[in-house]
Amino acid sequence: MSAVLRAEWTKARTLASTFWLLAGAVAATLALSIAVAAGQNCPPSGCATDPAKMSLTGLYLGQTVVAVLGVLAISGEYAVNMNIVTFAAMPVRTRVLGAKAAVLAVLVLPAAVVSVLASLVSGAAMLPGRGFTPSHGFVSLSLDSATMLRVAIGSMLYLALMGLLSLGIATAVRDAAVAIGLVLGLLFVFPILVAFIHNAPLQRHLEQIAPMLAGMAVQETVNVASQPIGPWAGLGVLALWAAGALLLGWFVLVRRDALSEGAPRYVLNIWFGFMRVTMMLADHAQVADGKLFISGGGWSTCGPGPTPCSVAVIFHVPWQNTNEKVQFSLRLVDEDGHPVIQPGQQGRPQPVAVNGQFEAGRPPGMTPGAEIGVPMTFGSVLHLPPGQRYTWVLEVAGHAEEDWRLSFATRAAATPASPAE
Amino acid sequence: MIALLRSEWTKFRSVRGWLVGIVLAPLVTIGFGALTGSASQCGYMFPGPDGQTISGPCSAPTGPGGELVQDQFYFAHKTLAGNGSITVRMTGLTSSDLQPWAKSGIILKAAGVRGDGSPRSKIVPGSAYAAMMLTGAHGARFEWNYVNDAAGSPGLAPRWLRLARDGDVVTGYDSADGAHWTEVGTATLTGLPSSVQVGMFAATPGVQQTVRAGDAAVDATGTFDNVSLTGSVSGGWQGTTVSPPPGPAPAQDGGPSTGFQQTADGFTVTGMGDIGPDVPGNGGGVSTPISRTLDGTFAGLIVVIVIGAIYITAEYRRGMIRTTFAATPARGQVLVAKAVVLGAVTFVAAAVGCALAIPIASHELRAGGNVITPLSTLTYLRVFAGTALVFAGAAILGLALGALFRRGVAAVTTGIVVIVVPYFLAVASPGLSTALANWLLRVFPAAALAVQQTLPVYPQVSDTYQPFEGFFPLSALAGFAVLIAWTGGALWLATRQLRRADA
Repeated sequence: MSAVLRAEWTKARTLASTFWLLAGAVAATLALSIAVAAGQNCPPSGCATDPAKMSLTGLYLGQTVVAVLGVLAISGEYAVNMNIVTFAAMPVRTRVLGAKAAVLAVLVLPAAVVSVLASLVSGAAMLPGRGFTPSHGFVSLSLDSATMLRVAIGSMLYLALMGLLSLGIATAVRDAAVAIGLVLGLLFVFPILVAFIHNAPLQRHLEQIAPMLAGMAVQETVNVASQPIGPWAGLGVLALWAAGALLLGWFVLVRRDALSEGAPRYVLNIWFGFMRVTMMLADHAQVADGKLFISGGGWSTCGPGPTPCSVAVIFHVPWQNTNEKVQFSLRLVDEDGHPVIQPGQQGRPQPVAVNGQFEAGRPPGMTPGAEIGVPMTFGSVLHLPPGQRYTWVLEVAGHAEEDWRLSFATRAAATPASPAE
Repeated sequence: MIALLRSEWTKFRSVRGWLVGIVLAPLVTIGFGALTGSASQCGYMFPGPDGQTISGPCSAPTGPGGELVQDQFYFAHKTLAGNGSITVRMTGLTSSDLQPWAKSGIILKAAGVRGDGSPRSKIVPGSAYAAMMLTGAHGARFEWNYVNDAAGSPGLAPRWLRLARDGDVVTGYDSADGAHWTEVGTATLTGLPSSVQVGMFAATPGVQQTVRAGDAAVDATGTFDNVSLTGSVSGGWQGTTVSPPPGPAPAQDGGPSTGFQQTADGFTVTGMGDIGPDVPGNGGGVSTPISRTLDGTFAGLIVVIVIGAIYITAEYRRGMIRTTFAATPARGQVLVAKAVVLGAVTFVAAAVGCALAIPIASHELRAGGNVITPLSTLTYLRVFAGTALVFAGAAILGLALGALFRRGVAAVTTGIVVIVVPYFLAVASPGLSTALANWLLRVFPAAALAVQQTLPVYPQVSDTYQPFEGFFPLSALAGFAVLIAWTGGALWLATRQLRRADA
């Protein structure tokens, strides 16, 4: 586990965006908190504003940056297909997700501590001059009371949980843009809905279950008892959301193919260990004692008429793919990529194709990194029309490569000598 | 360009996720409108004398101009046939909690007529009127037909007030000494019946408590002497509570009491309520603006921002953009074609969404007892088309941000942070001052939601006029221009970036 943790930590630490996002979260939180506090004025007659909550208004903005960090922790890998390397190196995906969550929390917490403390300090400096004094019944914003300690620590945990919620959602949906849209939608849709609904019981229920509203309950210092949900219970609701999202992400992650659609060739190479293949056309070829015997090899034109045609193949299986069953298929296609149909057994037409599998054993004492050659031959007699081009296409484990192909042409039909002009 | 548009359209319609998203955006909007509509109840409920519950929906009378009005006050009145005038000296305006727009003075009001042409004794709420009054903090005013207001001289009681009727024209005067009169304004009350009620009135809006907590009822008392009427005046002084609120009188619960008293040297009239346009929110109004049916707009905007951003960032991610630019080397044109296709598709989807959301949510709101502000067809069209345009603009902003950042996550986050977060802070964030909320909705693209604002701001009605209640600081056109400026600016930056950077 420690190796997995260290790998995730190194990845997170070495991305330039990590630092800038954390710095951005702090800056965004502090900037909005100060702007809001500066615009406040509580008249002597009193006001319904909670000074602790208000001096932390910047968290509404800061959490969006933390959400981006949480989403990028996993979607960033999918975007560059890094996840394939990750899962190849660390096949237990549960551990990878767990390590990512731990690293994310460790990264977000210091930023959360700075954001929350700086916001509270600036609030404590600005708000008493704007009518929010203890003599008006407001809590003092210094951290020497149990209430303010709860507000501060709860807000820091709030940010960390927000990161985990985002990580869970991003793991489930993979696409970074959709993930961040879902996370921010989940956060902001509930409070706007609550603001518009003129129905007290429903409002109350929504405030109890919405991740942002319930989580922010941990900041209440005014009329705590009459809030829809208690401070720690509210943070608990957010923790449940984060846990649920991570569970959903984990559920999807362990069941999904790591290869995203259209992954480029180098990605497959990493997955299949840079397997090379040597192919040659021959009149005849056979394997004996693990070696290839070829006669009349290397041609690229044939016919017209029935032609003996053998394909000789050597799979150069990399060390790390030895002792693994490898599926392959070889088929003949025409210029348009359509399968070539030939009369088969009992004269029934069928496509020219071979499917099979091999497993290269690793001999004792083999040096790591060395390759094992697996020779194979496929023979047939082809009846092909003249003047056409054909290609043998080899696929290994369902993937084709540009150089796993052999092309040849049939000669034009012998034409009677044309009359002199 | 046609070929380019067609190829971009083909790309758009062949990605299933984008089609799902573009259908989802209006659905979310409709769903939200229906949900907030069905969850919003308006009405009254109180225990009846036999223990049963008496309840009913909200209602607001319609004024002469077709708008919803408030017409609640205490009226000490006589019947005036034909032309005439009323003159009083107001010696005081008092209240336990004097509101800036507490009002008391003299009023001339059409009471309505019976089927046989004889004047009604009961005063029909919403009928035409003109009034001269003193207010709590805004001096003498001449107001007529609910939405019109003219300022007289500032200052407090004592003050002389006069209303004179000549046909359909009523003129208001004030005077400091009863000898030198100043005309404050004239009102033409079209179709004013020959027989009207004239007399003294008092009304005051409630005390504004904290935002969204409603108003506390309070009363205001005007004291008058030197009351003189000219013209054909008949009958004695009658006291009427115009549009009494449903339920037991507040006085029975220890609340304010209303009525009038004739004293040795004059009158005192005590009333509550307000005479003026029905302004939702703390102004005491009960009406619901049509924008409430489109409350789900912001949720739909999140969806179209995501689609707009992915529409181009997906090309970068898959390397498709290189093929696109190889086929069309003029990169600016590619972006324009994408913007046109995306804008058109979003506009159509959002228009369909609005066309369904408005009637569905209106139905839900009416079923919950809410009164929806009547609208002219033109305003209705502006709300409808404006909202669809806002959707299109937001989607194109998402696209431009996507072209600028090339990363879906950056584009979507920026789009949501500039469009939805300021809107959230302005309407749903506790503790944000109205000044800051209004500033946010002047600077950020959410200003464009002003296209949904249908309610004028009346200076003569105390209200917070918050974005939350459907009041935006900018006009529809100016607000939309803010969105256009953001979208245009982002497109310009994106085009520059596209030309400079390697694809």
